[in-house]
Amino acid sequence: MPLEIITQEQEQGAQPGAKKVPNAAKPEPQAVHQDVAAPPVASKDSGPPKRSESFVFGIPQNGLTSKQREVPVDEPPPLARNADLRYIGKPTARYDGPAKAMGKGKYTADVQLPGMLYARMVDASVPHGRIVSIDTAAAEKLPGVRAVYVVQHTYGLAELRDPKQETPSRYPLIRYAGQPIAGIAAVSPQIADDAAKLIKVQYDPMPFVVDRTEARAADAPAVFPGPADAAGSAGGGGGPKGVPQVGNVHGPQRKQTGDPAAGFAAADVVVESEYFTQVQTHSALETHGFVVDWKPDEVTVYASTQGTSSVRNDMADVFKLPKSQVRVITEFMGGGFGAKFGIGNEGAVAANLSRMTNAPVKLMLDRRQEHIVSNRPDSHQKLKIGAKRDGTLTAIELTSYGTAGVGTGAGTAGPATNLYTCPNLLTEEYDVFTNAGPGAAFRAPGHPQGCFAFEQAIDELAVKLAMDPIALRDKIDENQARRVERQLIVERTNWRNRRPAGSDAGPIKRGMGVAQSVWYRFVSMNSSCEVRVSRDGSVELMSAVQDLGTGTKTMLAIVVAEEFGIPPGQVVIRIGDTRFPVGPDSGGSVTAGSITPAVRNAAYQAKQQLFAAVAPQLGTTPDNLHLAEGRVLFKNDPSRSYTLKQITGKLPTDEISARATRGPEYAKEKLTYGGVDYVELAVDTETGRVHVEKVFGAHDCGRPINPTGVISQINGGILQGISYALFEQRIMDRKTGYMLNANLDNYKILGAREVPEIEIELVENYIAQSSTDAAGIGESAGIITLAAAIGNAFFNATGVRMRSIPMTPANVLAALGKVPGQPGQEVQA
Amino acid sequence: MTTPTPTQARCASLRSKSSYGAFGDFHEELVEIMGATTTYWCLNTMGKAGPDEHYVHRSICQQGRSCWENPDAD
Repeated sequence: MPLEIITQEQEQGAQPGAKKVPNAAKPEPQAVHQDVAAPPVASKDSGPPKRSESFVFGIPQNGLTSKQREVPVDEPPPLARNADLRYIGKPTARYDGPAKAMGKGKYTADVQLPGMLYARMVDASVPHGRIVSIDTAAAEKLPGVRAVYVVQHTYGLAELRDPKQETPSRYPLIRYAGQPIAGIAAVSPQIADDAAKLIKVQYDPMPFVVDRTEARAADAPAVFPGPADAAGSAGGGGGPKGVPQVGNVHGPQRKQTGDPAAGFAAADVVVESEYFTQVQTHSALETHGFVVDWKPDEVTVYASTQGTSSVRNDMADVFKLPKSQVRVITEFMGGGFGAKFGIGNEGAVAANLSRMTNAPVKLMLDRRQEHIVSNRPDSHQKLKIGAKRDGTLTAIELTSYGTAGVGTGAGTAGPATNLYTCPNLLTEEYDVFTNAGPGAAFRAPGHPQGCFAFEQAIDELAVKLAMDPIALRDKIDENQARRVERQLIVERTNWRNRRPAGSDAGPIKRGMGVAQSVWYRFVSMNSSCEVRVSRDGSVELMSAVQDLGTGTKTMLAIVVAEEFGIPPGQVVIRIGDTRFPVGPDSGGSVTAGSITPAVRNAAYQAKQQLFAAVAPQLGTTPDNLHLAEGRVLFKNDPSRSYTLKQITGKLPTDEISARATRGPEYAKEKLTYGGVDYVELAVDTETGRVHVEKVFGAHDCGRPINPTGVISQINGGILQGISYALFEQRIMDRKTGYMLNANLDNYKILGAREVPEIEIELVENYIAQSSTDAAGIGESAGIITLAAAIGNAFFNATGVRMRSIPMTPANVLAALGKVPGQPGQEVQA
Repeated sequence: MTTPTPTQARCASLRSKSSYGAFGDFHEELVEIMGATTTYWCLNTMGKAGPDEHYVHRSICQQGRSCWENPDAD
């Protein structure tokens, strides 16, 4: 059954409870939350008691409406729109900015513990082969070395699928150069490095393939040999269910709606092209790494992770420990982009070394290893779109091949499937195994690749239909937020002055283009927190949720501040520690939408406890009190007020606290977010250099809690998107199977000189799904769209369609027909 | 036809990014939307191959594979 995504417009139109505000320009004033909740009503289900509330709903530019929802009785009253709130929706400087700027933020890489050892990972020097022996004697004898841990094969009940090709061994088969083999712990990083060089590994090399196209050949070396495809072959049964494997090709994973052939037959216009994208490595500034301090009563893990809970769970599962004996701390985190979940080899090796030595062990991957440990898969996409003369889409067909190295996950069909309404769709996505480092989730998995092809094809369709590309999208895109975002681009950029493609006569050609993104609302129920209020008036929030550098701490401080009427800077935020209530792992843009409702609910409940505790001493009732601007006010006597500290001083105990866990969405509706990005660029047709001069982005993510933080995320996504489009590219050596540019000298990432002028406009979109209506922005923040928007602008500048990225000077000159080679020539992955 | 979502019990050691969340009402939608873009690994090997040296994927890390572990076991 294909997934149906309900757009905001559909959702709005489908809700009988939606009420249009009479004057769209001046929305009906929404009640600022006044600690007054509606009375309980009988719940329609068997869950907790509920009450009915009216929520602000919709997009301000379209006129806000209201939406009636049933909410648990212990949740706070609905928030007003951002314009009527004190702290939520107001630009707020980063909570931990000064600490980071002054170098006081302690990242995992900065952790120093008494007696700590330093570990180095030893990895494979061949891309494919059996390990015959590993000699660690010389390394172990080196003064200062405390332990060597060798990764060994764990068979359990497993049976090798083809004993002719897969010889039982003490060691795992090596499938890519850089695969972890062993770890060394020593008293200094230098000694660990020296010892790593003393480990002697004898290999029985095997044929290998690192090129996606070559790997698809019938006679290519098999990355996973043995019986192919047959159900029941995987160790005695349980074979693929509709996902075949033939040689190195795994797939297709297939989705179909309607009748694509009939759709193309009904089309007046068809566009059909092939597109190629490269492998991009995550390149987080802080590499993957852990400090593990194994003690008999508790294992403490300092982790560079996107999920403290994921690390605790893995440690408990792998080492058969109760979760209560594992503590994970992530105070500051230097980037993950999707690749840092669980403990990985580096976490497991560090833990083993710590257990062996009875000492804390730090194991951070080096820069070369960081380039190999994870990546965004490449792609070769064949895309065909049919449309009527008025732009109505009649059919979409996408076939894509991509390599995630030794893994899977190279699909690209998200944008083609979910951006526009089309009755007939066929997507077939294939993974191609190669002897290269594994793919991993990477900021909007599959979507930048898919968008690069799909949004350029939509642009090409507009050219063929002689339509303005934005007008075409207005015709085929039902999403109301993106409609507003496109209008903002028309009004706020140079779009109306767009010229025909290739208008500039000289060698420098300028152009503009747009592209759109789509992402999906998911929330994790593993979202809990505790709010404490002390007698001295201080307010603390605690949760295991981590801040990847995205501004989570600031966002949470704002939510608590709004409830207590105190500045966000006065709220103490303690997160990133599994001793606190469980928090959501941060991936797929789930964090803001998951944890902020729990935080607001806990803050509200703590406040209610405070009022209940002090009201008798104030000669009033709890419901006569409310908090604003740091003061406790009396509703029946505006002249009477106290500071928060005066009120908490009357607490009968030293502190009160409230704990809350996120509940389900108020209504089960499949919602999407997105954005539209506009690019102006210049192409030097003599040197092949592409320079992005301006980006205007209009984005939506529910209710923005901290516009400064959201815009910062979008800025980062745009820069990462430009970097993906123009510079970044993993280069593999076909002869040796090595990544040739596994460093930040030769793996080019966008720098300060390539940063364009960026302007961002946020579109508020109230969805009435939780007590905050917040949502994440990490995925839809520019990374999806930029390569496509740059491609469309490149076409507008030159009249030539770039079908391959990165748009390096060599690739650009080839596409322009200025060097031998074919335009659109596939890039080396 | 659309590739069906496997319904057999997945291996206790199969991991992906979404394995760690509790997505409530939306778990199946997440699996479906992210289907072909999901990268998997095995908690036993910490790699993309299982203990039987075959690749890991939700479509084949199911009951019947020799290294399969019962997610409901104590």
